[in-house]
Amino acid sequence: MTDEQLSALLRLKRYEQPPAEYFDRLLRDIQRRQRTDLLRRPLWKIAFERVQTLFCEHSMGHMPYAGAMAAVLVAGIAAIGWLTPGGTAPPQNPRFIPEAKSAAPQRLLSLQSDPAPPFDWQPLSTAQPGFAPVVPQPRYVMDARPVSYEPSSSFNF
Amino acid sequence: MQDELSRKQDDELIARTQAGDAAAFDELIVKYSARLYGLVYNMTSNHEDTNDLLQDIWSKAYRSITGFRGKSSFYTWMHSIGVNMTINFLKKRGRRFHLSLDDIDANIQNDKEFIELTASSSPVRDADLGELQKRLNEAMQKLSHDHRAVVTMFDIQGMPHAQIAKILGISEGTIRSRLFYAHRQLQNFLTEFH
Repeated sequence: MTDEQLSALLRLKRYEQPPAEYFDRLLRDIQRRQRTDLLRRPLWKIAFERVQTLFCEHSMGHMPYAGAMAAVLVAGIAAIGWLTPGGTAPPQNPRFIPEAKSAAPQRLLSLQSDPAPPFDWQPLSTAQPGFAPVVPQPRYVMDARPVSYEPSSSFNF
Repeated sequence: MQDELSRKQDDELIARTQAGDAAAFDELIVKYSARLYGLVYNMTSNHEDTNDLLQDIWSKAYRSITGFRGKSSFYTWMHSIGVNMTINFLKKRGRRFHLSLDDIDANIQNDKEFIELTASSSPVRDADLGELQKRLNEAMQKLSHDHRAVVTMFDIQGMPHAQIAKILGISEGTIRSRLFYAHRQLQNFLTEFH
């Protein structure tokens, strides 16, 4: 078999096509499948896509699109900051806060029967022989106020 | 000119689809399904698998069309999706396939190639063309997935080397070498038949 004969035989395979009505059925099947896929998707994904479409580049000009995206970004960052506990959290119930703050030192005192004398923060004298001049480093005394005595969370109900 | 007009129409339909017009996407399905069918069917040799794959391919295209930026033609893009998904499917399916020539279109009787092949004094004149086509399908299935894809696009669908290279993401030299090797293999299989 020559190359030409093989090519001619292969070209005949392009006639292996289903009847024309098959393609109508295929279109209907694809549409049905798209609808099914849409129903299976979570609600948040659909909502997200709709918002995306609303703000998409085809719906508005480039500048309003960029402005809208910036506004969404700023609103998102603000929302995260507002919702994060310990950040810019909403004000706590004022009735409980002074109580918690005043209770902590009292308990601390009762636990420490022999409190250590306060540390002298004076740097070593540079005039003292045998010592190089030391740059004073700030130190923080962590054991004077146990962490567990802090209010456990910002939600004091 | 025809190609340019067709591409303009495609661009418009794609823009409408990207804007949420599902009817525009339906037009693209109608326009390209027959060619995609030819590609997938000649790689799988099975109508049912082709039907399932076409649905998968169009669904994937619909989900991805927002990312289509028009760097290549829609036709090339769709064929890339089609070839990749079909090759992945064939790798999973293994060697199971079902041959059927029942779907051969009646137009074949008017085709110049068909008339020449059956009427001229070629070596295949006396052979049963149906049987020969069956043997050809079997021989096609013996090719590797990559070689079958190249033969399908070049010999059956009549695409130029450059376009096949773009679809498969390989050089034109590789396309030529794959075609040469695939033709030799097919000729060997079919020579055994004579």
